[in-house]
Order: sequence, then structure tokens, then C-alpha cells
Amino acid sequence: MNTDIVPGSLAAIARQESRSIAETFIDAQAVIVVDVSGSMASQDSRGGRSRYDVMLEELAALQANLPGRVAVVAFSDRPVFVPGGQPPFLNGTTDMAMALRFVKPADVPGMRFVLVSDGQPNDPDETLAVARTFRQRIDTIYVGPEERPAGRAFLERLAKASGGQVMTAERVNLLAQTTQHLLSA
Amino acid sequence: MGGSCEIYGEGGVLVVKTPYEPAFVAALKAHIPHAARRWDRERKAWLVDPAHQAQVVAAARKHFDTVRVQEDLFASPVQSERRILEVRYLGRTKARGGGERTAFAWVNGGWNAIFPESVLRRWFEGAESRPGDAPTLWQVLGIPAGSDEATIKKAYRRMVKQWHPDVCKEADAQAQFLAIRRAYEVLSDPVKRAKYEAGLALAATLPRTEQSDPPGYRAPLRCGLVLAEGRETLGRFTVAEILAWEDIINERGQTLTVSWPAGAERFVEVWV
Repeated sequence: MNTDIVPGSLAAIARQESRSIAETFIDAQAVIVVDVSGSMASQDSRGGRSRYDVMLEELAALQANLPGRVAVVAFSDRPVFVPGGQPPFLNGTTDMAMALRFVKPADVPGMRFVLVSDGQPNDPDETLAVARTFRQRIDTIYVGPEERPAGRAFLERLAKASGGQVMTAERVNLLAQTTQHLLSA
Repeated sequence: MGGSCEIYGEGGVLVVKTPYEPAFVAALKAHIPHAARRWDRERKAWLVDPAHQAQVVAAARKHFDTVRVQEDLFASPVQSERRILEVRYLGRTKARGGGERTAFAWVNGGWNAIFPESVLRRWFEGAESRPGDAPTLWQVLGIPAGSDEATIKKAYRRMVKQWHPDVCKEADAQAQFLAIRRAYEVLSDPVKRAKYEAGLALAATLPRTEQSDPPGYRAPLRCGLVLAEGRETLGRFTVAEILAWEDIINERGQTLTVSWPAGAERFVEVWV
């Protein structure tokens, strides 16, 4: 498991300010839910590297730009809260419904959700049903290739289910910038 | 192995008379909590809480040739009772050998009451928590998670009184006071509280890191009139459950606060 703590992550803030991880959540503005399923190993991102490797860089940049504002949750067959900001590569299927249920306790006023994925979930209907229970908006970012519109189309439906919007950061490039753009909207 | 051992009941305790046998003494110390055994110099015997009868008899049979045990020894269990304890100071819990960590409390002019750590945590934290866990904001205020606004406010006022650096002389009084203020600031604000509780829910999914020797538990309140259930053995009342904990208030309407300054030989009482 990746246990690095990147600057600006909740764990880094907790350490700096001698607070618990739970306390750092008070100042967080968004939960970013990132897909680390098997397809994120595709070596088609910048510099010929995997989407997962580039995602780690982009997440590090995002948290450095927005210190203490972003909580990271990763998912594949199971969800994992990653306060250190660098998710492990879980390399399984895409149980997006379970991931949404996992972050549901954070569906409180003042919190937003950004779901980042490159594909379709195991169970699209179940995922949409869970998304509809959210009171806060879920924005989505499609990080797969543009030539596979089905994945993006699903993320668009998911975003709409909670009043959010969809954006694309093809093959994870510019994920940090895209997320910041969404959060400032 | 050798010699003979005699075990009988007297005054609600087990009296264990043996010749000196270092291995038996070591076994006694390893298996019987400190609070449940005492060496009686006059009788030259160990006095042991009858709750540990089976362990004492087993240890005696292992280390002595002959063991005489009084028949029908404490056949009926010792009944627990309810008492109001005027706790003037409650220390930090410590491992005292052979069992759970316990804190001694000054009651009736001596360290006459024992609070096991699990009993204190159950009362002040209301949920399962383990030694070494960082206190939640609820625990800083000494109330169960999810308490209502009135309970939060009451607990805050109580804690501020006890830990205000003007009256509390402990080294970390200022830090504790700020933590109490911070806890109140968050828990009394619905939005901050909701986010904090979301953080607690997600943080609860993280693997816990075990501490090999976590510091002893210090209860957020160290004095009070405590309605407790428990039983007395060896001259000390061991608390099994806390049923109520009220401030000690004098005839002038002042509340007792206590602290133990670093290096002092005794705790300090201040009425505020």
C-alpha cells in the first residue's frame, strides 16, 4: 500500500497542525473519488506512462494547490480512504456504487464530490440509484480515451443525477487543473 | 516445589498463608491485579480478592506439596453494591500487573477507590475506544458522540471550569483548555460538526496502529460525587460501573476543581 503523505493532503495538514484526520475534514471542501481499477494501468498517458502514475502526480499537484481542501478516496473492488493523498493501485473491477456508499457520510452541507473514472461501473443502475440519494452535487471527470464515449456518457448521467456536471481530462492529463476548474465553478 | 499452603476466607477476602516461595509470589503478581492483592505483614499472609480464588488455588497447587483449602470457600459470589463516592482526585490509569490498567481515586482521606480504565472510558466516551486512541472532540468534552446541544454546552462549561489555566496547575492545562474550546467551537456549530462527523466516519475505516505502551488514560474530570456500582475488597472499593457524576459544590455555591502540579506531593484543590 502506498503510504506516502503528499504536501497539502489531509494527513500532511493533520501533522502540521497536530490535529486528527477527522478534524482536518472540517476545512475540506471536496471529496475526490478516484478509480484505481485495472484499466488505470494502461500505459497511454503522458510520457507513455500509466494513467495511475500520472494520476498520482496530478493528485499531488491538486492537493499542493488546495492544501487541506481535498479528501482523497480511491476505489476498485473496494473503497479506501487515503488521507495521505496518494492512493494505492487496487487493480480490480469498478464498484462505483460501493465507493459512493462509502463516501455518503460526507454528504453534508459545504462538501462537494468529484468522481474520477475511465470506465463504466460494475452496476450502472445501482450506481445511479446511490448517486440520486446524494444531497450535495457529484461532479465527474472522465479520464479515459475520447474514442470510448460509453464511459463518458455514463459519467454524464451520474453527474446529472445529483445536479453536477461532467468534464474530461483525457487519459488523466490535466486532472488537477480540471478538478480545480470544477471546484471553482 | 515444597511446603504447605493454607487458603481460607476471612472478612470477605481470601487469606493465603504460605512459606516464602519466590515462584509462587511471581505467579501471584503475574495473574492477580495489583488492586486485588495485598501482603499483610502482621498475618504474614497474602490477602486476595475472592474473585481470583481459582487462580490462587491453581498457583498454590503448582508451587506447594500440600494445599489446604477451606471447604465451601465463598460459594456464593460477593454482591456488588451502590455507593456515592466523594472523589477528591482521580489519577491517571496505570498498568499495575496482572490485569487491566486502573486509576486510584482519593476518597475519604485515602486512595480508597479504584476505577478500571474501561469503566472510565465507558462513562466519558460512551463508545468503544482503546488505549492509545487519540481522543475525539466528544471525548475532550467527556460526553458520548452525538450528544445534543444542551449536553455539549453543559459539558463545555464544566470542563472549562476544571481546566482553566488560572485554576488548573497541571503542565498541559493551557493546551487542554484550548482543546476544550476548540471542541466546543466545532461541536456547537452544525456545519462544522457535520463535517467533523463525516471525517470521523471515514477515519474509522483506516487501519489502527497499535501502540505497544500507550500512555495511561486521564479522565477529563478528576473530582466529583460519583454514584457507582462496585464492591469492596481489601479495604478498597473497585468500581464496576459509573451511574452518575456530579460536581462537588460547597455551601457557598462554589465548584471544586483539582489538579496535580508537576513535582507536587499532593493534588491541589481550588473552589471556583
